[in-house]
Amino acid sequence: MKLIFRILLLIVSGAFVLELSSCKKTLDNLASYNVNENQPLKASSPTLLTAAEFSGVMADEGSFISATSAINGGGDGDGFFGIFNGHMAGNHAQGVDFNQYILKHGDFQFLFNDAYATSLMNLKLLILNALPNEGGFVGIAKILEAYQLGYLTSVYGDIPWSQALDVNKYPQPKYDAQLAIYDTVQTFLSEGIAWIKAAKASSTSTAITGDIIYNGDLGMWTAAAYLLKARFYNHFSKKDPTGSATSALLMVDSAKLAGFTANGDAGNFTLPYDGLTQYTQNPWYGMYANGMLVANLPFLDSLMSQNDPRLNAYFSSIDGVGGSNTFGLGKVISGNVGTGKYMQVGPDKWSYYGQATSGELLATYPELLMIEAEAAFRLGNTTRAATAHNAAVTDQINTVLSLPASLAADKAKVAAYVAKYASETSGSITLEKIMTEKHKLMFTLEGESWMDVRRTDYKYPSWLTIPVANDTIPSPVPVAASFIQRVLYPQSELDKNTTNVPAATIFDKIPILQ
Amino acid sequence: MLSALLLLYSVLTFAQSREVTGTVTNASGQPIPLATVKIKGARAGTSADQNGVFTLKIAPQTTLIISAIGYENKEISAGDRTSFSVQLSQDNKSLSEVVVTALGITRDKKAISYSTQTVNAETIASGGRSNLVDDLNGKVAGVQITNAGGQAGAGTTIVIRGYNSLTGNNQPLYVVDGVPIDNSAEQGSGYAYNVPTANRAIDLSPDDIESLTVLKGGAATALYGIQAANGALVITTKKGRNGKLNIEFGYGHSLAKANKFPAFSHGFMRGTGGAYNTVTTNNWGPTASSNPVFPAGTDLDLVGTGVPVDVSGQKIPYYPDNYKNFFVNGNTNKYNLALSGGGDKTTYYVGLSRLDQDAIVRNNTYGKTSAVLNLTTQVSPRLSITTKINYINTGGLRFDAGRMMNGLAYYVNTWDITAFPWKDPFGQETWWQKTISSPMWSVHEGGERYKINRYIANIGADYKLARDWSVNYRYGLDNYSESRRNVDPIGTLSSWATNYLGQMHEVRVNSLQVNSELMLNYDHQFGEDFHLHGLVGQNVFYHKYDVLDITGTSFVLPDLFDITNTQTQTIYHSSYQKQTLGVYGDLQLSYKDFLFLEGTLRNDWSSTLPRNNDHFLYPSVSAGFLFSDFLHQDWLSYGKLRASYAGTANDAPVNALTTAYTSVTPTVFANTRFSYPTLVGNPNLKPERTTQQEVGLDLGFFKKKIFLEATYYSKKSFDQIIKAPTSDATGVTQQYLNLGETTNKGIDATLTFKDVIKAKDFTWTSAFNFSKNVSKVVRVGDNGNDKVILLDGTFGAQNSTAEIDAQKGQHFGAIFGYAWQRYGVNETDPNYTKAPILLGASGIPVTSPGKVLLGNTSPDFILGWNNSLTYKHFNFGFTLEWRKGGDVVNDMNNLLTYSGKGILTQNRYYSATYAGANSTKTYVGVDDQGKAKTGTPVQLTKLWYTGTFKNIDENYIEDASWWRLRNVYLGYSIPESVLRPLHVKGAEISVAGRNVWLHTKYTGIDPEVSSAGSGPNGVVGIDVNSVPATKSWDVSLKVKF
Repeated sequence: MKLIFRILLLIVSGAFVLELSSCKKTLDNLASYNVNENQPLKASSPTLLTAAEFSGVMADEGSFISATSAINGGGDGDGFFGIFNGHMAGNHAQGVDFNQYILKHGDFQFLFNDAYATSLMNLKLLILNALPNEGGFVGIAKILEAYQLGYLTSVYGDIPWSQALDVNKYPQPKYDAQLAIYDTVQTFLSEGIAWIKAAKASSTSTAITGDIIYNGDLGMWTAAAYLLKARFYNHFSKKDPTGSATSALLMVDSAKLAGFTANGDAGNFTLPYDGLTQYTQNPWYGMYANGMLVANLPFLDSLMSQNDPRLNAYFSSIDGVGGSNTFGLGKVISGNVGTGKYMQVGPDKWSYYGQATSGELLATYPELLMIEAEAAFRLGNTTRAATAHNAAVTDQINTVLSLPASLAADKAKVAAYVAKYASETSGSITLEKIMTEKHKLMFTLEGESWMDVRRTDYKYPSWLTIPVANDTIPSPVPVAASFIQRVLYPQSELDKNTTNVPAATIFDKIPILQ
Repeated sequence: MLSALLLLYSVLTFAQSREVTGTVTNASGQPIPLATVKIKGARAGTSADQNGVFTLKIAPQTTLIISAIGYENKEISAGDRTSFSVQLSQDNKSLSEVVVTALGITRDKKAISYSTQTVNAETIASGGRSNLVDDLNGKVAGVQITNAGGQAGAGTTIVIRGYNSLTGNNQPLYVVDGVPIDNSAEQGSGYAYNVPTANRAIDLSPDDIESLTVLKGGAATALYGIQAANGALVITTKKGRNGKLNIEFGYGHSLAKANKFPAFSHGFMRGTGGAYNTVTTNNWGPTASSNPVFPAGTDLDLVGTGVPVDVSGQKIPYYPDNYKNFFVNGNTNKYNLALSGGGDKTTYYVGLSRLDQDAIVRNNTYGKTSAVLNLTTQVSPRLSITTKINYINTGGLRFDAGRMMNGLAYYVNTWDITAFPWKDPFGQETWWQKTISSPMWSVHEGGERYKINRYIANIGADYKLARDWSVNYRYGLDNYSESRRNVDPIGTLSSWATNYLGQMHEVRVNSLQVNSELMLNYDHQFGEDFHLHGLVGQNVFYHKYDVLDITGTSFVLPDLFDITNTQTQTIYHSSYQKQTLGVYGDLQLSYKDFLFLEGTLRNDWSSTLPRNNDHFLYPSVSAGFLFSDFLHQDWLSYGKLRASYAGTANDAPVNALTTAYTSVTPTVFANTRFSYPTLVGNPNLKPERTTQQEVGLDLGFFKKKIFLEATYYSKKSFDQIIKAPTSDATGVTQQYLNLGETTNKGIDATLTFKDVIKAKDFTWTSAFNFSKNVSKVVRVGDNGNDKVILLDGTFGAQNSTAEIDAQKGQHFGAIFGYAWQRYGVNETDPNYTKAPILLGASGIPVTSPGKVLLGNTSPDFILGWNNSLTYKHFNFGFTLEWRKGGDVVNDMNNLLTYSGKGILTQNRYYSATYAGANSTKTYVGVDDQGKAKTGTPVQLTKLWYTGTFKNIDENYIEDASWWRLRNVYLGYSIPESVLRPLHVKGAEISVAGRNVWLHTKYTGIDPEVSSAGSGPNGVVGIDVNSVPATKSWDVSLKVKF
C-alpha cells in the first residue's frame, strides 16, 4: 500500500513538471527560435537578375573555362568545347583527357547544376514573383532562359524542361525532345521581346537595375533576343536548310533594326567582370595561370601563316621549355606535352579576351553577320553573303584591336588581312570561306563555334582532324573512328534521374544534326 | 546532488548503531569521490562525497567493503574505531563497481543492464595527447576514433557503434560533471577549408579528469534525450577533499616525428618524357642514375637569389627526400599543477595546466591554458552546493593542409627543401609554379593565427527534502569565442588571381550553450528485498551560435595584416538559436541482489521541428539477471544476463523548415546577388527515430580474475532527416526529407585477465577490447534514387573521382568510383571488380562507363590489447591494436601518379632507346565474347598513367588494416622512504611511446588519419593531402606534496 502510494506520488509530481513545461506559451515561444536570421525568404528582382546573369549564365560561358580551379565553382565546359572544335588543345590533366576523347559522366556535373539550379531556377522565381511594374525584368529573364536552354540543347540534344524546376511535383523530370526545346527557346525569345515592348510602352515601369549585361538597356536586350533567334534558327541548317535560312535572315534584319547598327563591341551580348576579386574576374585569366588549355597548333599555325592581326589579341605566350620566344611551338592536338612555348588566352594588356576584367562573349554582332552570310549563301544570295562575311571579319578584327593598348604592329596587318580574307564578292564567296572565317572570329564562343563545326560535319576549317593518342610514334593512331558529337550527360543525372536520362555516347549526333 | 542521492541510499536505520566517518583516497593520496561503502553481509551502505568523505551508522564489529570506479575493493574491519582512512589501489581491469550513468547518476555496476565502459584518470592523463579522445583509442570497445592528422591542435572524431545519421551529426554528447558541453567542430574559414579546425572537446585538460565513461547504447543515454542520440561521453573531473592541502605537480615533455610517409617512386628527376624540363613540377624526367646535366639554354635559380643564371651543362642536383625533410621533430611541453583540500564544509580543487606544442609541421603551434576551480560546500545538513568554473584559452598557428601538402607534393627534387630559400631578396617566392605556393612559403609567411577563450561554469544544488526524497538543480553555461586571422601576404603565389597582392580572413565566432536541469529523486528500500529508485526531471537547453567571417582581398600596404588594409572586403555572416525542452522519468527496481529492472520515459520538444509536430516521446526498458547468485559455483563468481530496448529520437537541423535565399558573395559591379538555395527546406519534417536492442552477458571467473563483458546490439534508425539528392533539373540539388533508414548491428566485448601472473612483487593484468559493427543502408531515397554522397571532391581538393556513399543495400561508407571495365557483369553488381577485365580489340583495358562499388570504409573489427605490469616500484604497460579490414582511398597517390612521383609509376616507358625506363604491362582478361585473352603490352608512358591509369579510381583503393603499438610506457614510483625526508608524498617518473610501431600494407601515410577534419558527420576514408600522423616519445614527472 505504501509502495503504491509512493509510486503515485512520483507520477503526480512528474505530471506536474510535465504540465508546467508543456504550457502552450512556452512552446510557441520555442518555435520562434527557429528563424533564419541571416537569409531572406523573398528576394527582389534585381538581386535575382544579377544572380542569374552572373552566377548562372557566367557558369556556362565563364566558370566552365576555369578548369580545375574551384574558384568559380569549378567545372570546365565552354573552354573545353574549344578542344573539340580545334581552337584549343589540352595541356595537362583533364585537358589531355578531353584531347583524347576520354570523357566521363562525372566531368559534366556542373553543366546541369549551373544551368538549372543556379540560372534557370532564379529566372523562374524572378518571373513568378516580379511586381506588375517589373515587366522589363520578366522580358530579360525570358531571354536568358532561352539562351540557357538553347545552349544546353546544342550540347546535349534532349534535356529536361517541361517538368523541370518543380521538385515537389517532378522530383525526377523527364527529358523533352530537342525539337520541343527549340520551340520553347523561340517562344521564350518572342515572349521576352513582347514583355520588353510592353514595359517600354508603360509609363509605370521601373528602371532595370542589377543587369550587368546591358545595364538595363531594354533596346539592346531586344536586339540580343533577335540575335539569339537568328542563331537558334540557323541551328536547323541541316534539317531545314531553306526555312532556317529564311527565318534567320528575318531575325538578322530585326536584330539590326533593334540595335545592332553600330560596329564595335558596344552591343555585343557580353558578360562583364569587375576583376576586383578572384570570384569576379574573367575565368580565362585563371585558366592562363592553370595552363590546362593552350592554343591548338594547327589553329595557331593558320593564324601565323596568314599573318592574322588578331594573334596577340587572342593569345599571350606562356613559359615553356628552353627560353625560346618564338610563337608557334604551341601544343599539338595529340597531346605531346611540355616541349616549347605555349600560347594561351592570357593577361597581356592588349589581350581582348584574357585580362582579369575582359568580358566573356555570349553572342556577338560579327556572329550575327556571319549567320547572315551563311543563311544568305544557303538561299543563293551570294552578294548579301559576301557583304555580310566581309563586314563580320572587319568588324571583329577592329573590335579586338580597339583596346587602348592594342599593338600598332597588329593594327598595321589589318589592311592586308582584310584585303585577302574579307574582300569576298558574290563570285568568290564559298561556304568554306564563311565557316572558316567564322571559326576564327568565334574564338572563345566555344559552345556555339562547336555547334558550327558539328553542323558542317567537321569539314571547316579544313585542318580539323580526329586526335591521335600518341604522335611520337611513326603512324599515330586516331583515338576514334569519328569526331566527337556531344558530351556525356552528368553523372548526377545517372545517379538521381536514372530512369529518365537518355543513353548516349559521345559519338551519337544530337537529333537536330541527325 | 550525487552525494545527497547516495546518502539517501544509505539512510537505513540500524539498531545500536554508531556513526563513523572515513576518507577514501587512491594510492597517491588523491580523494576518490563517490566511493561506495557497504556493510559486509548487510544491505546497508553509503557512498563517499565528492571529497571521498563518508559517514555511516554501523553496528559494532562491522566489516566495511569500500569500492570505487577503477579501484580494487577493500574490506576493513571497523573494530571500534570511529574514523578511517582508506586507501584503494588501482584496479587495472577497468571493471568498476560503481559507474556513472546518464545525468551523472552513479550506480552499482551490476544494477545496470546496458553496456558502458569507464576509463580512469591514470589512463587518460598518461595518454598525454592534447585531445583527450585520442587517448581512448584501443581502450574502449565499440568505438571508432579517427584523428585528423599531424597538425597541432587538430580534431578527432569518435563514432560509437556505427553511424546513425546519414547526413547529420554522428558525434556523441560530451557531459562534464553533469552538464553537456559544446563539442562542435568549426568549419574552416572561407577558402581555407583545409585548415584542420578542432572539435571543441579538445579544450578539456586531461589532467583534471577523474574518469570518463562511455555510454554506448540507447538505454544508457535515453535520459539525455536527443543530444545523446549518438551515445555520450560522461566525464567526471577531480574534486577536493576534506583535509590539508594537497599539491600535485606534473611536467611532461614529448618528442614527436611523422610516423609514416607515402611511398614514392625513386630514381626519376624533374622533367617530361625522360628529359629535363624547367617548367614542370613532375618527375617524368631522366633517371638519376644516368647523372644527367641541364640541357643547353637552361636558365635556373638554383640558390634562391631570385636571378636565374645559365646552368647548362651542370649536373642536375637530385634531392629525393624533400617530402620527408619538410617535416621536423615536434616538441610538446606540458605543465600541470593541482591544489586540493578543504574543511568540514567546503572543499576545493584548483587545476592549472599549460600545454605548448610545436608540431611536426614547421611553425605549426598549439597552446592550451586551462584553469579550473571545483568547489563543494555543505551549506546545511540538507543543502550542498557545487560550483565549477573552468577557463580555457587555446590558440596557435595552423595551416591550410590542402595547400601546404599539395605544394609539398609538387616540390621537385632539383632543389633541397631545407636549404633553398622560399623567398628571394626581393621578397618574391622562389618557386616555379605560378598558382601554388611553396610549402615553405606557406608555413613561414602565411597561416592562420587563432585564439579561443572559453568559459564553462556550473552551479548545482542538492537538497534533501525528506527521508528518501531529494531534489537537485544544476545550471551550466558554456561559452566560447574564437578569433582567427588567416593571412596570405603580398607575394603569395596562391593569390595569383589578384596580382599576388594576397588576401586575408578575419573571423569571429561566438557560441553559447545554457543547460538547466531539475530533478526530483526518490530512493527507498522496501524491506529486505525490494529497492526502488525513481526520478523525474526537466531539462532546458539553449544554444546560440554566431560566426562573422570577413574576407579581404588584395593588401594595399605591405606587412600590415589588418582587414582595413585590403582593397575589397566580402562578409559572411551566419547565426542561429536553438532551444529544446525535455521532461523525463526513470524508475529502477531491484529485487534482492539478482534482478534489476529499469524503465525510462522522456519527452522532448525542439525548436527546430514544426510547431504542430515538435515533440516526441521515447521509452527505454532494461533488465538484468544475476544468475550466478543461484549457481553458487566457485569458478563462476559473477554471471549476469542483461537486455535492453530503447527508442531514441533526434530533432531537425536548425532552419531546415524554410527555404531562404542565399546571398552570393562577393558583389559584382557592386550588385548584391540573392540566389535560390540548392537545398530546400521542408515544413513537414518529423523527428528522426532510432530503436535499439541490446543483449549482454557478463561473466566473472575465479573471483572475477577473468572477466568477460560482451554485448550484442542491433539498432535501426529510420525517418532520418537527410538531404535527399534530387535531379539538378529540378532547380535544386537536395531537399530535406524524412526518408533515410540504416541499421547497425555489432558486438562489443571486453575480456580482462586480472593478475594473469601475480607473484610477490609482480602483477600482470591484460585486457582485450573488441569492436565489430556492421552497418547497412536500407533506404536513402525514392524512385531508384538510392545514393547520398557523403564525401567526394566537392568537399575538398580531391584528385581522384572516388566517393564515399550511403548506397542502398551497402554498408554505410561504401566507396564508389571508376574501375577497369569488366566483362559479363552489371555496373550495379557489388562484385563488379571481381569479374574479368574486358580487353577489346586493342587489347588494352578501358574505364568502366559509370562508377561501381570499389570497397567500403568500415573495418571488419577493431581489437585492442591492453597490458599493465607492475614490479615493485615499476609499472609497465602497452596497448596493441589491430584493425582488420576497411578500405581507404589513397587520393594522394592519384596526384603522385599524375606527377610521376608515386610508387605506382616506378615502372615506366620513355622510348625504345632509353635505358632503365622501358617497362610495359600486359593486362590479362577476356575478350568481348568472354574468352580468356592476354592483352597487348601497354607502354607505361606518362600519357598512359595520366590519361588512363589515373582515371581508374580502382587503382587507388587500398586496405586500411593495421597493427600498431598504440602506446607503451614504463613508470617508476620513487619509494616513500626516499621521499619522506624531502616532504614529498609521492613522485613518479615515466617514459612513454605512442604510436611507435605501425604495420600496414597501406602505401600512403598512416591509414588511421582522416582527411575530412572532425566534422559532425565524422565520415572518413579519403586520404587527400593529409598531414602525416605522429609517433612520439614522452618523459614525464609527477610530484605530490
